[in-house]
Amino acid sequence: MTVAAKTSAGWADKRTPEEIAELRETVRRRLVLELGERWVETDPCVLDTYSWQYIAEAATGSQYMPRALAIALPADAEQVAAVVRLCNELGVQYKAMSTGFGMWNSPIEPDKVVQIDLRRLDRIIKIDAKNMYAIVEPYVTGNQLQTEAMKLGLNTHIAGCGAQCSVLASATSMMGQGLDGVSMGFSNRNLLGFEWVMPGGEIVRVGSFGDAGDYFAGDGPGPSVRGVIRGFAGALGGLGVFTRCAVKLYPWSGPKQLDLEGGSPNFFARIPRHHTAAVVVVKDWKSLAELGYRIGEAEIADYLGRNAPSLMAGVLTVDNAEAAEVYKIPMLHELYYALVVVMTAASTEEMNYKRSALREIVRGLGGGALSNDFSPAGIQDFLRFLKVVSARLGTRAFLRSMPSFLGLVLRDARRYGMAKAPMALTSLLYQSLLRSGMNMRGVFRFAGTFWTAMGSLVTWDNAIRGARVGAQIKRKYIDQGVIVDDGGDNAWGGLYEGGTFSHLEELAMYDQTDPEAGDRVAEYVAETNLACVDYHCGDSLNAVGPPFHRMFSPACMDYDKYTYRIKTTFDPQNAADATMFTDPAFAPDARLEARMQAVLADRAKVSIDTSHAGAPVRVLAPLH
Amino acid sequence: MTLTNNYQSMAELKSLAGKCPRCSLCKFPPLVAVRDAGFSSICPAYEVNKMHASSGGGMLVMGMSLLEGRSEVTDRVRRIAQECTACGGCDIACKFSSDIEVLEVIFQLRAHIYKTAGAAPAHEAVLQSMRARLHPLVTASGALGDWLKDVPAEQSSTPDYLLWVGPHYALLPELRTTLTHALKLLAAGGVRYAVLGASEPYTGRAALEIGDRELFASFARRAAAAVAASSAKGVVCLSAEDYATFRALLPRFSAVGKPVLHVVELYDQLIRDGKLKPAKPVARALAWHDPSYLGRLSEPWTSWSGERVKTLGQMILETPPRPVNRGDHGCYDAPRRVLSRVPGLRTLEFFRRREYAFDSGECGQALAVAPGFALSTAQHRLAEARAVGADAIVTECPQSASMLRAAASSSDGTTTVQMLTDVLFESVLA
Ligand SMILES: Cc1cc2nc3c(=O)[nH]c(=O)nc-3n(C[C@H](O)[C@H](O)[C@H](O)COP(=O)(O)OP(=O)(O)OC[C@H]3O[C@@H](n4cnc5c(N)ncnc54)[C@H](O)[C@@H]3O)c2cc1C
Ligand code: SF4
Ligand code: SF4
Repeated sequence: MTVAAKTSAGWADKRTPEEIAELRETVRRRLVLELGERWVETDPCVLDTYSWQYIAEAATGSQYMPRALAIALPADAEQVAAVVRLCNELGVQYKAMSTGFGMWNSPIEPDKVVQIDLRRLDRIIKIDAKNMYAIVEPYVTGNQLQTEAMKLGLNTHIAGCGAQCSVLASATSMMGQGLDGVSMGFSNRNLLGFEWVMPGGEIVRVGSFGDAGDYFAGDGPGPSVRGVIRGFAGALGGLGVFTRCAVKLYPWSGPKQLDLEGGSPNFFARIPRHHTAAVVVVKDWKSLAELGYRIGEAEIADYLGRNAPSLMAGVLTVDNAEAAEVYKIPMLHELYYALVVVMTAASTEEMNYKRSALREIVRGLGGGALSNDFSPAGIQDFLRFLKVVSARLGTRAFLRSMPSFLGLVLRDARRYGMAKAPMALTSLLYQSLLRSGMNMRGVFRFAGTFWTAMGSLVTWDNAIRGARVGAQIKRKYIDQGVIVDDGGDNAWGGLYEGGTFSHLEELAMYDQTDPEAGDRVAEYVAETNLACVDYHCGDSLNAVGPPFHRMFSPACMDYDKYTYRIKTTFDPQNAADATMFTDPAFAPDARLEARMQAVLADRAKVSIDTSHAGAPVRVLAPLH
Repeated sequence: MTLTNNYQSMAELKSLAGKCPRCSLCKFPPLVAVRDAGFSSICPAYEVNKMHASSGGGMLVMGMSLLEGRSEVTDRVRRIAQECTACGGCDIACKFSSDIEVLEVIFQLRAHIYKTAGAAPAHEAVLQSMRARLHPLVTASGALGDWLKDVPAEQSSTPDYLLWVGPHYALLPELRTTLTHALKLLAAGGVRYAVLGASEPYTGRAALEIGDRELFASFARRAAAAVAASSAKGVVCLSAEDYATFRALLPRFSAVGKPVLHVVELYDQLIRDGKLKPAKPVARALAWHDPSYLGRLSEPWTSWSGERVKTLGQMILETPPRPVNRGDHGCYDAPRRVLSRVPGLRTLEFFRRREYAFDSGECGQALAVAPGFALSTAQHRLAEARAVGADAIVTECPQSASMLRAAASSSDGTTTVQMLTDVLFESVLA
């Protein structure tokens, strides 16, 4: 039985249900010959488990993306290549997924695409501790690689989507920002080589692997194709399938395993003696910009980023009732100009140096810190921290915060014991940053889901400016009641490679089961994209897929023309579903156009820093 | 609208399930607690069958798809739902970050499949056995009270505890020795108990796991009534399954009204009170396996009714706050304390332990319909025991022990599996 996926997007499909059923059966039969019965799936209910995706509601008006023709689970690169060749032969598209978080791995049109689930390619092929790199298959998660790397005194970059996600997907195919970026870079920068099933089904090995049989360098000899296969955002499945990649690893001075006590969801991680976790606060945006640069330049931080107060309330609590209480503490509410930091060191001397450097930077900017440093200087930093917050709040509101703040400390005393209570907040921070395992608390639990905006890779002060622009646009949607009132500012992000570049994205939390919310949040995204162009904030994280490329490409040297050339050269048959990349078959639909018109008709007022605004840029420019 | 957490249909879970963003956290232990990449899954279904459908998040979506009429129950859907141990690992992992009731959806999915398509033949046999012989053990012979002929039970006329033996101990000959040891330990500790023998009802979990909620309810009510009718002040379960059912499921139908302990908790108490003295050294290194029934599935259920409201625009709040079982109130410390009091014994920990322990294939009635899947699950757990350096496992759930033994004999045959009761007996009374 074929049940067409219900979408309010209304994809035009001229095929009859019988034709679709016949095609599905042909594809299934042929896939079974390649992979075996067990690893091919066409049952509608099971297909739905793949369709159900994060932010599907924004694309289709329901929680389901359009169904795939079939799901295929190959076991190795040869089987992946066989599936790809088969799709080319049958004239159907395919799309790869690794751990599968987000609607980007789904087809955009129903019953047309074979989804290649790379779950069975789950091995860490090798960790070369001496040369500090690892070779992984697509289903190796950040958490798994980090767990094994730490045993060897090494660490790995983990993208902010969480440590349950694939290392390879971020390195080869999509984005790559995480709060360890200050010391461990951005996913694409860590990519040292890869095995690639090209769109037509040929397997190539890129980087030094192709030549020397090992993956110690990502480029050459000869021209690098790293830029070709991913660039800033990645091809999101639109350029074939990556079946293996090598990523750079970094030194880790901590224990082989986290020293963990207690149980879920209230684990207590003991912070090693030579490690520091801190929230550092300064008095305004300008100081925050300076703070980021200075910490980055000093090369003292391993993890560095910004969590807005509402996100912090989510991460520090286990349910919404508790989060709402914590969020009410005026003091927490005022931690706008704050960064979270983890510093690691191999010796007391090294940590003393790093702590002194951080102290000098923070004090130099009139700020303070809450950390696990209980030395007299550390306590002084905490008092300064309170001073900065009380100056923002006013003495009366500050004093009003105290009972709830003490309530939080008492909660921790009950949870972890009196002796550990003072360390509880920094312990949570440490776990959260180190294993990238708690972000989901902060973004999903409040309302159900979130979407994000702005967030290009730009200089840190430009990222802050972008966040301020985003927050003002968000206010409009908050006032209309379609997203959570998180004060407007919920900018999350970090600095990369010593602070040479950075990103801040403006999160908006909403209830995905509310039929109106998904649509309205999509407007928020469109509007912030326009603002990115107007206020020169860089191309946004949502510069994904042809509709948005049309918005950014004219402002960024017509990059879409290059990606289009790459796509059509490497994949003349358009076999790899490139609807999230640069789709030669893209035609804007009426829903999208209507959404854009609605946004253009009622744009939020943005009042800061308009001096940076250039002439309005064309939107909805003709493609190619 | 007033809501409750005594979910009677999939529809009641829709708004919670709707919050699933397919993050995949339900496939792994809480990420901070991962200790080895090779043993970093929490879900037996996903470990073996690999597809997203075979995971907590996948089952949740299957439930929603069926509820919304987007798809229908097929053999394939049924097989996927059955090749899951209903062990609740996904539920605990998801609730590290959320308050979604994944395991409740899994039970409702099974109920939906049962209602619309009936039970698979092997499951129907279990249900038949429950209806005709009042227990789920299809191949067991004899009657529920027969064990009393073989094993002396020193019952008290003024019992403190009703000793709940359960059908496994009552009927399976391979458990006679452990049963004898347990009763001797209780006698040595001076525990005053009574047993119900032939009139002890089965607590009914198998029916719930298969999807026949009505049959389960009738057994659950009978068990609760038997407890109420007893003059004992509390219940001590020998079987982990009964313990979990008494604490987490029965209260949804009938208040149990008396404290329910597992026998390891009683051992722990007796040792602390100096009534049992482990003296003889047991020079062995054993890895303690937390059975799902004794661990996360035994977390007591607390009734809730309230409302879901929105604050701060779209933030969802439940008033009063809904109690959410996150697994950390299972029985974890008592067995560890008991083992730590046995001289000479070195207890090793699995990588995955306590509320995020990996199941050993015993739960969810998977064994009846998918023996290969259940065995693979147990083999994976066995491999983990070896990886932590143990050549012997100790546990306290007859079904877990049986699965792990089957796994051991199907692989190298060298790993031994013991019951905690037997180890304690060896140290106290042998
Ligand atoms: C809630 C949420 C938060 C996020 N936050 C961040 C963040 O902070 N930083 C960040 O960098 N990203 C973030 N992302 C995006 C995320 O990086 C990607 O979704 C990421 O690649 C996740 O890995 P995955 O294996 O789950 O990806 P998938 O969903 O499996 O794939 C992501 C994309 O890459 C393609 N792809 C995956 N594997 C392959 C392969 N082997 N060969 C070819 N193409 C492939 C897919 O087709 C898809 O388009 C977030 C996503 C979500 C849903
Ligand atoms: S069930 Fe929970 S953990 Fe699993 S995908 Fe859904 S939200 Fe994530
Ligand atoms: S109950 Fe256990 S086997 Fe079933 S999906 Fe959840 S974790 Fe997997």
